[in-house]
Amino acid sequence: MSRTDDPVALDEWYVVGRPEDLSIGRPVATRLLGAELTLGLAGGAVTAVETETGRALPVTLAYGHVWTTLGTPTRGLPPIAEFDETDRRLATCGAVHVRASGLRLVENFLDMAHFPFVHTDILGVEDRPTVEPYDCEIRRDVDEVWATNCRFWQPQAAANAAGGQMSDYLYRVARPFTVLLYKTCPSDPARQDVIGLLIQPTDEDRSIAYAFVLVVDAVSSTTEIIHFQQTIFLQDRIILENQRPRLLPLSPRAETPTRADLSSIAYRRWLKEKGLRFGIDRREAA
Amino acid sequence: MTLADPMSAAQPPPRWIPVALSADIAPATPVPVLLDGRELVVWRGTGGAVRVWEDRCPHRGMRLSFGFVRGDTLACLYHGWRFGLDAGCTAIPAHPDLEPPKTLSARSFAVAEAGGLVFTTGSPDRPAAPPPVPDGMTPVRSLLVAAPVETVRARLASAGLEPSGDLGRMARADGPALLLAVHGLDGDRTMLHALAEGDVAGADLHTAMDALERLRHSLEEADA
Repeated sequence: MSRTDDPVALDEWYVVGRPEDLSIGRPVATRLLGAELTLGLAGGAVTAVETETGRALPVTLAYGHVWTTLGTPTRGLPPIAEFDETDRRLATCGAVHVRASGLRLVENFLDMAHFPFVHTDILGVEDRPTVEPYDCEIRRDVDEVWATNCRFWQPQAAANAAGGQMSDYLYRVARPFTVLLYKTCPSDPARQDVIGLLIQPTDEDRSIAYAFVLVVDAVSSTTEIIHFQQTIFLQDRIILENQRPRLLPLSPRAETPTRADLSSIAYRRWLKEKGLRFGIDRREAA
Repeated sequence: MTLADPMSAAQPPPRWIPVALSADIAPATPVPVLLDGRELVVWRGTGGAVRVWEDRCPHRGMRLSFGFVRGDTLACLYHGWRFGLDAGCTAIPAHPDLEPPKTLSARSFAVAEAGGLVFTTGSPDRPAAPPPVPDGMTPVRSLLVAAPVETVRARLASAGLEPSGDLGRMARADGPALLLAVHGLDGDRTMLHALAEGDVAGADLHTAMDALERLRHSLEEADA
């Protein structure tokens, strides 16, 4: 597969790694939207080059990751205000390869109905499977999809959670391949912890996922936090790699949603409005 | 290579295609099966009935072969949606009070079980006659052959293996004859589901397995 020609996909910033995973004199080969890239570290600066043409790409370091773009984005990275709060800890999980469309990864991240079955006894239990009605909207002012008033019973909501709780969630799809979750902070209910999934779509049906956790948590070690996130993600990967078709179908005939899938319905409508083609299943109903 | 579109006018009549040995479809364990490049799930309820469906949940496309069987329902691993023997969705755990709509179902295909083999047509249609499998056979094994199904069929025919459609009979000098049920997996590979005539065990089963290994070798050899 070669580099996509879909401008909707090209004109965005994407994570391609973490600064600490790069070392001087050891270029790293990676892929973005079907194009081969070479990342490097020289003179203290991170570089990204489109390998085939040698074209230097713009690079931004933010939120603990390296970002680049193959196109000309009309706006910068999504603002995440919690990164300005000085008492928070950032744990980044690093690259996890998934043989699935990045769009499927976002939908899985938004979904709560799978907690009792995929994250059994951690994020959900089978005898409390109900997804209560929640709200979801495409916010036109910021061009993002938000799901609010989400609630789910969780036996172990986070690395440092002691006993079960009713978790309150807020989901924010900031970009087609960037999604955030805001959860009530266990140690300070007035604040929210942020969990992010930053996706590097290498090809239409393959992605690299970078999860991060930005918490007000004085108790758990960074290792415990990362381990918790990785456990959750590896459970999801079994699902993600076995969904068919691999690319996201937008036709309502292909896949049947229920009320619990409100955020997925909004996300797919949003993607359709944008005219995204990369990662979208071609066989669309008329 | 995919099976013909049911809407196509030039649709060949449905025929029974062997896809598994009955002995390999244990109750309560769904089994993924490839048929002409299509992903199917074969599963057996605790009551004994076997089913062949498209390996895909109608919700978000998760493969049903990863799911779990409870009684005579198959539940999807992703959100726990349950499907009964008629393929209809019977429960959606996220909405316990919701009666799933009658139209919500897995895509199911005609299935038959006879003589120790599970068959499907790969479509909802079934032929008038059941599969022509003799009774009284002992399952031996399913043998994976790295050759396209047309090649396997042609070589079995030229070896005089009395093929009748997808079933070939291999007489042997050193043991009971074998029934070979031919099953095209995808463009490059074929499965032969093998059964032995009569009640076969012990050393006879081992010689049958040796014969199958030799057969596989001869089927996979490049053309001279």
